Amino acid sequence: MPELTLVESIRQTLSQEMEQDPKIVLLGEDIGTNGGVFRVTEGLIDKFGPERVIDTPLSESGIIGFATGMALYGLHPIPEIQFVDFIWPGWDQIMSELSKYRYRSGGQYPAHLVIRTPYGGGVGGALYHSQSPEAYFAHTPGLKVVIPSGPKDAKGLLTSSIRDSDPVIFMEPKRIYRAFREEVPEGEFTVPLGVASVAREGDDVTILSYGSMLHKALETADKVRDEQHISCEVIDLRTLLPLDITTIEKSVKKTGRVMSVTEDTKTAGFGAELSALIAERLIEYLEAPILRVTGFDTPFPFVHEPDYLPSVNRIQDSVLQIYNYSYGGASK
Amino acid sequence: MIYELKFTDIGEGVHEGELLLWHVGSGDSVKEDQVLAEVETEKVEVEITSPVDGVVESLEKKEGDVVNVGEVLVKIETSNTPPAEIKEPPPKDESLFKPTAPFKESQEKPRSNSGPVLAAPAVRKKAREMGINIAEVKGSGPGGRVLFPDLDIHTKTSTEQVEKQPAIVPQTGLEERTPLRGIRRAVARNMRKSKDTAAHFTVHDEVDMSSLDRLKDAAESMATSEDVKITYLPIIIKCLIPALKEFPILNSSLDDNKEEIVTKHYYNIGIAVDTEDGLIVPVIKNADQKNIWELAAEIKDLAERARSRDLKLEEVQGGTFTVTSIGNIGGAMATPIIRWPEVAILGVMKGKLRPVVIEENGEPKIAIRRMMFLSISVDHRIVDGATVARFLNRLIQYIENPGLVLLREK
Repeated sequence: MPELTLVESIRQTLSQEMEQDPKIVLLGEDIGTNGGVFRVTEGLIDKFGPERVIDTPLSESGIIGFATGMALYGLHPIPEIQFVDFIWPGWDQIMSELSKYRYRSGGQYPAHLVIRTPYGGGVGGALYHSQSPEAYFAHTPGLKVVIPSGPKDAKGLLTSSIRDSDPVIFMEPKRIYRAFREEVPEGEFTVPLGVASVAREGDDVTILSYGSMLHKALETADKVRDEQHISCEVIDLRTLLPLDITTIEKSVKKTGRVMSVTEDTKTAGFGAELSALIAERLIEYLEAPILRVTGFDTPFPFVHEPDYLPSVNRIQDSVLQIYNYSYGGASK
Repeated sequence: MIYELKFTDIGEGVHEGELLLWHVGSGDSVKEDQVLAEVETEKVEVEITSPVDGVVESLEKKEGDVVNVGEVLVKIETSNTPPAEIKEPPPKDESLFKPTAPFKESQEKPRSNSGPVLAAPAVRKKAREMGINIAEVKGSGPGGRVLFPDLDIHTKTSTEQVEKQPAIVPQTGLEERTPLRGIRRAVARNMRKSKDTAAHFTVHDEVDMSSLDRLKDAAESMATSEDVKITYLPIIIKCLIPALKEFPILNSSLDDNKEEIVTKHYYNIGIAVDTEDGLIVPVIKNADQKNIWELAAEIKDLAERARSRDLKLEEVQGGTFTVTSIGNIGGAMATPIIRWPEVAILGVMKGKLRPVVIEENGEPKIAIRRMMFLSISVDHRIVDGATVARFLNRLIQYIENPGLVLLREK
């Protein structure tokens, strides 16, 4: 199997799906002739022509509204929003139109569409190129929200998203676009939506994460194993909506301690939803408070980016707090 | 303004102490940093100093009282001389881990049975399953939070109270009552816990000390002026390590909650030290990485500091196997109690000259040899008699022929 970066894997997946599904159309700012600011769609216009790889004006509401119309017409559009930070002019289209068509039409007009968009910090992008607004989308019924944590999953999840007949927000962790390579199956490969994966098995503390933060969680799991002999189970949620609560329940029943690591702001972020679900369903299995390691409740900072993003030290601190809680420890 | 001086967490995981001595009385003027009282915990003695200038309004505890962290020791009137600054570190935001609003009051004073109970949901569930009213359980966590082990302790103490309490009939004037405090109480608890948990049995065997004596004598000529005098104990520990490596189950623990055997690949050997206050067992960390002189020096240092009560908490924790040299004082054999959660303890008795039958050139012959009994107690839940017998055979082989230790050295 070839080893691909996240960018290469997404490009390969788009190309393979476009080959076998003539209804797929890509559209977005600079995705054609330029090849996309992150080079995801590089070369696709040469292969599929300007009718299937469309350069659009700088207008997110136009891109998403246009794509929604294409989907209702029966096409399978894949609009790209250059940075998820720019999605808000199109939010009315997503929130008021796209997410509701299946319901409004009594199931006659599902919108078969995937919005691809890079998200997240760690690239020195400051206020408008670093945010993680997944909770807004997860709060919107009718959407599916998918976030891969690496090249292999990206292929499986994007393929499933493209083939899904409902609108999917496919959020790509831009920090790891080129951070590492992974073996990616060459041919047909799907990962079902709504199924989390256990990235690391463990017994003492469950860490829920996704996207680029998953790697911080795994790094922390190694560190606390070596330094404190604490065994962490790390779960990659992969799909936030629909959420795989079964995998979470199984793990929390085993460990009795759970925390989430997300780079979103804390208040009403996705970690809050995880904490609430677990409290509703599993309260009697809990030996310690459910903690959230997140960004801070501020606009995304520029110089303080390293402090803002959850670090291994911050995650480790929370692991120790909830682990020690069962043994009479207060916070240290 | 009245300043209430509370017994604060002095670290090292200590939650209570015994008030030994007041240095001040009601009405005395005190200065900041002046020593007010001495408190003894299970591990150390500490001096409590005043953080403020003022006049002692009242002593809230008597000498001999057990004080819990958070309880008020003394009230000091500071109105004439308001505290310039109170040298407490700014409180860290521990709101997540300290009970919030309705519970906050209860950490200031010991929880009464009628107040709200602090416990994680999983602990409450287990209490219900065990048929325990959680309000009656004494919590050992911060603010009196009930932890899992408290439920077991509650079950045991409540049945013990029912069974044993009536047996003590007071005989006024003929008896003296001494409160169980400090080390004595720690020893009492630990021994009870061990006997309640581990399934003890003991195996005895004897060992010929001739080779060890020769080694000890020969070592003296190699010693430098800084080396301490070698006793039997460091050599026995040196012989013990390869035997433990061959029989790792004796250097393990049983994790009851998870029903897993934890085999330890490090060798922290506890040595039982008899002190005026009671038994203390400091631990030689990574004994497998130390030579005999280093072991001898560390034993001497740990024993001295155990007697002067200068050990740090980490120096009495983390043992994987314990050796107790009962024989220095007397007794032929013993049945030592395991230092749970370890699974074995080796009792080293007194070496004595005894007539023994040995074989020389195939002929039985009576000889006079320094012989010593070894008594090893183990936890039968995970160690069987045959294993111990084989282990003891191997240990005896090493002690009777210390050169064999070389064979397994890397």
